Amino acid sequence: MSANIRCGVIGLGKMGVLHASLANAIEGSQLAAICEPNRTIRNWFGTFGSNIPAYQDYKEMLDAVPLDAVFICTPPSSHIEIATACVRKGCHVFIEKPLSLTAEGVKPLAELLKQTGKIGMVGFMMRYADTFSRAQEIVSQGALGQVLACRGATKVSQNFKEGKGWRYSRKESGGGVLIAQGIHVVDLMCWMIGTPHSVNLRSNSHYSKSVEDFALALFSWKGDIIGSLDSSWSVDGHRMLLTSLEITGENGTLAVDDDTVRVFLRKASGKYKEGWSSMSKPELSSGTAADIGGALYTKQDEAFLCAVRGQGKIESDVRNAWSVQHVIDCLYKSADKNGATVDLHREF
Amino acid sequence: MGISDKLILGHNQFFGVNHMSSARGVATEQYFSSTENVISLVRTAYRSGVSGLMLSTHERARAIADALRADPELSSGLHLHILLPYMAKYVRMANERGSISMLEETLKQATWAERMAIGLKAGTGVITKDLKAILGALIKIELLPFKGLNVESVFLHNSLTDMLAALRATEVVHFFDKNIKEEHGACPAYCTLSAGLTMNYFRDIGLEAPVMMAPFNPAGFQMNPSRERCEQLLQEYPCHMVAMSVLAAGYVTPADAARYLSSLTGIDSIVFGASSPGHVTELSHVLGTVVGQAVAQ
Repeated sequence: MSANIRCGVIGLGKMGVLHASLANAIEGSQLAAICEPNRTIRNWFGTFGSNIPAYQDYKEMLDAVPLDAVFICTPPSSHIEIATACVRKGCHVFIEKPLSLTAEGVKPLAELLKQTGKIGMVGFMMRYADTFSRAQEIVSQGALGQVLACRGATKVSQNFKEGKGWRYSRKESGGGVLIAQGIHVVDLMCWMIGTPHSVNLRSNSHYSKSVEDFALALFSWKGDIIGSLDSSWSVDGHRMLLTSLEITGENGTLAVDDDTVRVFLRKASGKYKEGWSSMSKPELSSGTAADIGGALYTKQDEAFLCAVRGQGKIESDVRNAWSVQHVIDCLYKSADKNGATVDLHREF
Repeated sequence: MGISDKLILGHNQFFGVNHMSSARGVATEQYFSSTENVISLVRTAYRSGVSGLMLSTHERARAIADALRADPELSSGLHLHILLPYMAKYVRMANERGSISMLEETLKQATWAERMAIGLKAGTGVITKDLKAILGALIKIELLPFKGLNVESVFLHNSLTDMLAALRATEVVHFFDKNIKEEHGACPAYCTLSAGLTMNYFRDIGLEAPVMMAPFNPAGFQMNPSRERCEQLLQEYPCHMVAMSVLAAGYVTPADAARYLSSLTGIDSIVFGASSPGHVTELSHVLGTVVGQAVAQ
């Protein structure tokens, strides 16, 4: 590998532009090529990213430019095909979430990654948010005791008429607010509690024709742990996406969102005292190379690029993302059956 | 060309931004959904020696600008510092429609008179223009609500400043600099949450003594890559620095913030948020001492 990790970015939507910027901002890596099928966007990028070769077709880019790592930021329907081609070319891959439309067809990519020893990371960036990573640390240390229940939510004032583009076409996106935003809480639940064994989903598509705008999900885990998720992109009063999770155990309750972690413990545990402890974002934050779309994205991309160098580990690989995707598949299956319980029989 | 204000009232409280608590942000936004309440706070600040007001190009900024224009005291004495664009709006629109449609829709939002004023052709075709022409048109649209007010500077939003610095998009930086000076007669300025990256880059491309706005607080909150590096660059790189996030979203006390800022050389102005008349008076007094601003008692 060259001194700098040479990165390519495929798909220059807002996530692609963000990863392209971060690839250049993080020490030890550089943006070496981009691929975007839309000519106008490609030409504009020429003005922004001087001397970065731009391609219409990702195969052309992979043939023409030697790359160490590729950020795949296209609509999810194309993720697996593109990631497979990149790994075959010898590249490590970062795939924006969701991993794919469904969990079907993901395993060959996971096998290929295993055989080649390449990194395959999936963009569940909430794991790199200071508040959520602290919450995970508290839960994994057992401070809450036996977990009993959890309640999660995502809310944003985004969609009050029919949206345009791939996000609102189930064929291209895999679904609506659940797979676009609620999936982060599903991932956080899987991270902190484990993969549920059965799920239910009721959803409502008021503004969008083919995808849901409101999703209410229920989860059950082994040991009688129960959980819920309330996800909508059509609620008022949330100019920014709010992600929150509350977990109750035998020894207390933890509530975490983008700004704070609050924990109430009946008995002190480790460094956390009996009663309430509260930690805010300024208190938990640490510096990063840059903060372009939020420090959590920088920390995520730093972890990916470190792993590419063979240093450190990533929090969310393709195998883990497959499990999250499988939960999402089962939730949609439940919604198609009017909320009937769907068991997760499959394991990776 | 620089900025004259030592103290600038920030706008986050008006638009529901609170980095400590989203719920608190929503509550203050409710209070400030009354333009009268906004103007009342701005007037208190102005009479306490805060001669500048930062205003994002939020949907509600037009109503605030209209109210300022109608106020003889504020329209003549208060300087405006515009932060553009209002990113949440564009991110939402990009999510709804994709980036090309987002730009088309934005350019369509201009009234007929505005479209004439910015020389936009009717119908499609705007997106085929080169990026600089589109940026010029977008800047004009964003600044239209503030016409006739004392706009002293125009800040580029931190997401864009930092993206341009990361991508080393020097042509675009020079375009923004020139466009704001020549087309709008204001001082070009740059907000950043990546001070290390951006100051290094500006130094590399020879941008001389720019006006910048970056976080400086004793908690090191949003001081990237580190508090130490930001303090070092402040010493090394000559610029007009407007310190922001001085209270680290409420995590540090005004007295601690003032003590810390006083220990630095190179802070020329301070922007701060406040949500009540008592709060604005206290902060203008405490922070005014840092930048040598005489404050009305």
